Amino acid sequence: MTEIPFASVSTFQELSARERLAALLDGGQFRELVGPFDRVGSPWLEPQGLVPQSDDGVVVVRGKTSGHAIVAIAIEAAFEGGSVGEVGGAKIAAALELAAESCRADDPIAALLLLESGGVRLQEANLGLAGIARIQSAIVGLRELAPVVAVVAGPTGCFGGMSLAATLCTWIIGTAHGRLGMNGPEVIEQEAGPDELDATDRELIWKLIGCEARYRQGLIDAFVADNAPSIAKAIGAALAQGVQTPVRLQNAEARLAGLRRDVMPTEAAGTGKVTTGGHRA
Amino acid sequence: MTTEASTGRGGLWLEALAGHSAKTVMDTRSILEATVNLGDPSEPVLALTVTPDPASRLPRAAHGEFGLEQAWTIAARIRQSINEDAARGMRRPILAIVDTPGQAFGRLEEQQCISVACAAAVDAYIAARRAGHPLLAFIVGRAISGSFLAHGLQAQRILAINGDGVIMHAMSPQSIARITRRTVEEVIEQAASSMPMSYSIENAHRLGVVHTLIEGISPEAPIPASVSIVKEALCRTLTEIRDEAKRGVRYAARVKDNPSRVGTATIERLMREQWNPDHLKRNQG
Amino acid sequence: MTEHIALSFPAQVPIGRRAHVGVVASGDLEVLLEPLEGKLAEVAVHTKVAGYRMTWEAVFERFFARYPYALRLEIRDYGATPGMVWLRLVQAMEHAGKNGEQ
Repeated sequence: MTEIPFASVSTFQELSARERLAALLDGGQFRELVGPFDRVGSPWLEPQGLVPQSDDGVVVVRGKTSGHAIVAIAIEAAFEGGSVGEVGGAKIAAALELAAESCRADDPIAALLLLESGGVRLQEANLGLAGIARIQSAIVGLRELAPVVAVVAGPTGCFGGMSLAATLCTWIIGTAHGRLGMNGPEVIEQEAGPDELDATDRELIWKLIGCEARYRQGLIDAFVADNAPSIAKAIGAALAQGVQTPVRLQNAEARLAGLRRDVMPTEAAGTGKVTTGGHRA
Repeated sequence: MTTEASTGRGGLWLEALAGHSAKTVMDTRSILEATVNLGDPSEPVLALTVTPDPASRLPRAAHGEFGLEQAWTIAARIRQSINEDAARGMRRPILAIVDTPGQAFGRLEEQQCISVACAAAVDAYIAARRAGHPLLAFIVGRAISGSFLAHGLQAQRILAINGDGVIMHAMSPQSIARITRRTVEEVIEQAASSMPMSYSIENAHRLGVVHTLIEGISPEAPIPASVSIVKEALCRTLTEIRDEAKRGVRYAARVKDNPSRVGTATIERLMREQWNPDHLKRNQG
Repeated sequence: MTEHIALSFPAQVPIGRRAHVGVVASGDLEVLLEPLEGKLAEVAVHTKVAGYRMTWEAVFERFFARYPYALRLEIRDYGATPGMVWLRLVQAMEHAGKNGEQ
């Protein structure tokens, strides 16, 4: 078992990926799988002038939290913005698939995902996409057998294809520093212009996609303080609830109807002008 | 290459493959469905595609983008088809025909949780696959990022025409340039030299992300001869998917012997080896 | 493009434990430290910033003068200053159970 000295900082968001796992797992103990000494980094980065990290920015460990046996996966946001490439994507998917196999062999293992990620690693584009698709499939496969708990604690947040992965999990726990959105503010500004969204307006961004806002919308399930004990407690509570289908993904027809009724602007007949109908806060 | 509007090839190919019987889904003008009959004896395949809707009430999704309406509609329709088929003791294959400039980028989209809408579409496709519906994706234009994750990437097999304008990527070169602090020219040049970053669908095939490349037909003009070729390829693919399911082959296991996927294969092997603590005795220190 | 630098130094005592510190983030580096048989220390640097071989040599001369252990050091660097490199090396030695000078 690996023991990492518990970092004596009170905020969770300052911790590295491994430190976060040490802070959340019982006794700070875990066994890392395919860790840095296995040296499986990305084969695609060096030709692009980048130095690969020995674990490709993904830490996978087995241990316990609140007494529950789990596989815990933490994305290291400091490496390439936590973006998912071929190797890191394969680590996450394999970990979830192996947990599902264990569950089917009567050895129940739940999953904890600490998701700080900008999404697909652009330097590995299509492999990042394929990897995230496999992660999504693995989450759904495990979700039917054991709880899959996601934590978004910032400062990077969870975006792109990984925001879809988070949204597929049984439970999502967020803190005030976390953000959860499909498209990053910079990308929206780039694609749609600053009038659509000013990516430098931090207050606006957090009001739109911050975890507190997401909690009030019912997109995430728990909103807790930015420290390890609070987060660990929320994780334990989520795991204790067992297997569930996330409500946020259900009732697509009703969601479509609601979108049309309450959100989409109505067209003024014959004028081609658009006026805003009702809106949901 | 700019973030242009969809070329509408999805609708063209849907019509051609289904013999001009396409209809809109749940009053969503941008989502079309049709029944494609494959094989002999023929079986019905539910085909779905996204098409531009210039009159879209959500302006960020008026050019074939995959937005809130599109995502919830796809999710709802697939769930509906799972239930319809279950009631009839069937499990129709589902074919995602792909040509979309990407997901809808907008403030409203984020506020209304587009990640949930797209995740619901992913969830529905996965549910269909796990319930025994073979899933296929057929790329006739652009397969991009989140829109492709939500409509196409959950397929057991992805087919693509090897032709003009058929590409797969995670982001336009302009956006990548800004985010990675390079020039657009540098991005395109670098993309060409790095297989997974390349916009070439041939490279996506080499990497094992696209399973079948259909050569010698134009993606812009689904003439009858092309339609025959595509239907034959779809039919063969369906047989492969069913055969794999019988043999219990795992999703993505086919990358095992691909020389361009050594990273993936190494991870598969090591994760499996290290999953149980026995290996610890060999690796102390 | 990136640069690979390989160095070796005489060593006296084997190190007992392996250690891993750091991150390949801008201005930072990752250090993997492992025991090595014999009287040699080996260093492999993979750095994003080419052309600083002499600076790396100077840092390691100083390092092995202080810590003459038989070990393998693997560095993955994203433009860290010599000061930052030293910090991470010392941190790695602490994790390997060696706090002071030989």
